Amino acid sequence: MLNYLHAEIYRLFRKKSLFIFSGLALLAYLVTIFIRSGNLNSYSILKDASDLFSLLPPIVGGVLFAAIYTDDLSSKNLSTLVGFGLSKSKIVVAKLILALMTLVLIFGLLPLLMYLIYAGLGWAASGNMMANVYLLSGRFILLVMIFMAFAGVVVYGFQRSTAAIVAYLLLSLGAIGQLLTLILDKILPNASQYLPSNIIGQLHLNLMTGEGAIVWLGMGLLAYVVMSIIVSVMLFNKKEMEF
Amino acid sequence: MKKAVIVIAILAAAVTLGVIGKQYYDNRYVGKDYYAMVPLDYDVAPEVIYSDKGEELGQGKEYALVVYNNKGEAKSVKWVIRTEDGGLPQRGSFLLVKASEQIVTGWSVIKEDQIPIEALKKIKSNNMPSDT
Repeated sequence: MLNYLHAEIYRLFRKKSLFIFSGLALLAYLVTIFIRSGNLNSYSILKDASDLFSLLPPIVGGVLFAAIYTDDLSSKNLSTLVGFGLSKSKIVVAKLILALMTLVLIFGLLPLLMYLIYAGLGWAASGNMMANVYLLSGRFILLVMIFMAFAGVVVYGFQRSTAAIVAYLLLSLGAIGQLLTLILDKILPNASQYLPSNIIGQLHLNLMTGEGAIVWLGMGLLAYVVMSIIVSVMLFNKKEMEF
Repeated sequence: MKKAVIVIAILAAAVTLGVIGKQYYDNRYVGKDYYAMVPLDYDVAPEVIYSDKGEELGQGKEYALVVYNNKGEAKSVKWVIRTEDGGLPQRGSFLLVKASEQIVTGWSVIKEDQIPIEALKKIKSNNMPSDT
């Protein structure tokens, strides 16, 4: 599995389209900050981070999901990997680890970039403010990872790139979450608090305030990830590979 | 060569958009501090407020005041305050008004001693009751 992970990291970091997209997204962000620079203050970075990070799951996350998960489908690489003897469960787990690594890289570097930009404009954020920004980025790392884990089930179950990407976008835009909340609130009051996005929201709040359960919420999230891996592997094992 | 042209075109478009966008944004949304007093004879009674399309927006008041910056330079501003946004500033209240070139971006009631001297001089001289 480590060799496969290494190969995937190599592939991802040599994917030109990903770098072009990231460059354009960064340029768009810099232009936006420049336009708004007249109205910034020392607290702007947190609001800015909140606005920016909310946009990233569908936009950047979508491109990343396609690069990590559906590229293999398009190039029929999954069957090659299975043919070489790599177990399906290792493929599923390796993909999730790769997703987590790239998300940590993106959401780890972004706050730093924002700090440098704001400091350059004369609004250097305090340590406390940056801690809050990093807590927020942690929230979005978990959120996007969960979305990718769930959409990954569609990748392995249907092995159709379009369906998988649509599933990811519906998750990341909150459409599925809102629908589930509506349905659950009608049939099982208070059940919607156990949805992953609400668990992550509560975890974020508890970490910010230093109060409330953290371990249990973390375990709840882990349960969702483990469940998605199990379902993915089960569906992957059942589905006939296309050659 | 073609790639370099594309990159340069994208950068040029970004710079152009940035400059034009910043000009527009600063003119509309970046407010500077101005100071005013609601005149003692100003009508502050709430009335029905309508949108540009004629839709009723509730109760409020349009304030049209002459405001002064910290150098005492005057500017006429007009903005609507809705009663549900908080109380309407009353006659004699001193205001800090944040105004851009185009709109008022914010306001608050402040104390007289928070107003810069030059602005306060102008406010008082223009709000002295006329001798009858």
